[in-house]
Amino acid sequence: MVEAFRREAGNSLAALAAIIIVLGAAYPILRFIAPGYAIYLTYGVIWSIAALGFNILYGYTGLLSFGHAAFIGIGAYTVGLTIKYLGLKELEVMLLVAMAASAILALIVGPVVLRYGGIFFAIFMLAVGQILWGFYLKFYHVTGGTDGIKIGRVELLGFELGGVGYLTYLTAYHYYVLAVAAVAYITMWYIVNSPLGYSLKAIRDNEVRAIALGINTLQLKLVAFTISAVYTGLAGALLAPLTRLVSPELAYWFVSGKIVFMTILGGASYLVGPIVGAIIYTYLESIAMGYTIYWYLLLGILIIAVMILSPKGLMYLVDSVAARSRLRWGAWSRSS
Amino acid sequence: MVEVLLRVENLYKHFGGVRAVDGVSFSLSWGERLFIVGPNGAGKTTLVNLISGYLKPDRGRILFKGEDVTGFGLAERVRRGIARSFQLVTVFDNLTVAENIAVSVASRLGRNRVAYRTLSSYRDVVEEVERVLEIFELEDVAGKYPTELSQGDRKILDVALTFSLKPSLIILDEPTSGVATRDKRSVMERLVKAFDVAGVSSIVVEHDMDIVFKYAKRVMAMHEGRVLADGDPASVKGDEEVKRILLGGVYA
Repeated sequence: MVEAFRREAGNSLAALAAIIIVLGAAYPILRFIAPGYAIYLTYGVIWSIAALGFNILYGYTGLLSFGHAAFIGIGAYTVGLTIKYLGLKELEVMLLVAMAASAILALIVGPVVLRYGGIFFAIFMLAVGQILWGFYLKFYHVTGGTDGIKIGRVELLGFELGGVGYLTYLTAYHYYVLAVAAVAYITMWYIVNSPLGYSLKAIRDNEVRAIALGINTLQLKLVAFTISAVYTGLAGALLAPLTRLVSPELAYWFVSGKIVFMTILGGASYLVGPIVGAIIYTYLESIAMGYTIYWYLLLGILIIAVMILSPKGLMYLVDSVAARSRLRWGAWSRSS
Repeated sequence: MVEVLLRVENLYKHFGGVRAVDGVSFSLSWGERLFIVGPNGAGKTTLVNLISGYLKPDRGRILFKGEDVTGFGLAERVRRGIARSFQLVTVFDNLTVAENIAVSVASRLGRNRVAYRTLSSYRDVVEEVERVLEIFELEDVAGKYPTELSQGDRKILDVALTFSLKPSLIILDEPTSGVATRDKRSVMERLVKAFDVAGVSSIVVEHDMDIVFKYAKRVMAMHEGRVLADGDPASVKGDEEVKRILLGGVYA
């Protein structure tokens, strides 16, 4: 009976645990062999939370948003504004406020935008993102406009880290981010395997049929939208202490596109797809940026290549290689 | 009165000059199964659309469990226990057979919003899914995706989703349409058996006369919106008008 509920390797808790361990172990190794690239691992982990949040909407509910930068912005500016105006130092408090602010935005915008599907939803979200971007840009006496808000060192778990070396601070921050991400990953595993998760997949596959089964699809889509917003807002908040500057750029539509890119690169139909995609994208971007000013072009070619060679993302390649080897072993054992 | 599940009184539905349903009355007991037959345009689908709430009648009353549901919308009727499936199969293609049924069961139990526990950790959901799989003989394909199933199994899965909502009355519109001829009988047999096991009432619109006369205890023949005959298969088959209009001499 349990087998009747499909558990592909790419959706398993074991895969998530393996990823968390790799992300923890890789940091000191990178610090040792390629010190300049270690910080991108932290960036990658943060983006993975955003992409995971984006994918509960895209991969699991079938709603493509081109405006998730709105929530990155909300998260980042929550950190910036609470530091600037309230003198807050504890990051945990800021994360909670950022998640609450994202949820509130989702609950205000959601009931309107979720009445539309497909391209209308995507464009509606793009507009929401751009409105907020315009707000951060133009309300400069509050947001600092293009100058943004500078972020000093934050307290992690009540520890004052002003006195430690910068590299130590970055290392501490990496593991802090990874701990938050681990909780976010495992929570997402529960969500997608819960009755809610399955109902969302049903809505994605056939909304009319889901309604006929008595599922309140608008309400469940709003729940998914809010979860998505909270994850992405959390990522935005974690980003701020690392960029050390909160500026409108974080809420620009390009960031929304980046989240879409990461998710599709990794594979939207796998739980771990967006995580793998976010880490790989972050490194590709940093490496491509270092080599050429035409890095947009390189990434563009890459996404086209992935779309042609493995339309379901990199995780699909992993999955089909695993399936092929299973098949080969099966055939071999039968003939022997 | 208690034994009567559904009572249809003098139902009329005209589309312009077409008398789709023209004064139909009948009643259905708890656990009873009614086959509706008739040529194209006889008003069979219109009648089941009126009963399930997709259409509103011009005149007449529909009583369900003693309650007048004529003015009720679709959702209200579903909540009271009237469910139907359509001619085209609609299931969730990226969920396995078991997961498809689990979604329906979770919906009936009001658990759609639960996000902190896995669906497969609910003992009552899993037991109910296993029961439905067994009733419809879908155990062997429980872990498959609907796209990997035969058309007959897809049809049965579609009905099983509706069945999982535990309605008192299931309305099926041509359940064997699109199913390969050699599978038609087994599909109908599994459906009929499932309804009998669960004691659920059903109204089945069916084109295939061989199937109807094999599995029916009660048949209602329609023509031009009116009921020609209503009764056990033998008496309906023996009816002169039915012979002339429906059977075209084949069974004479």
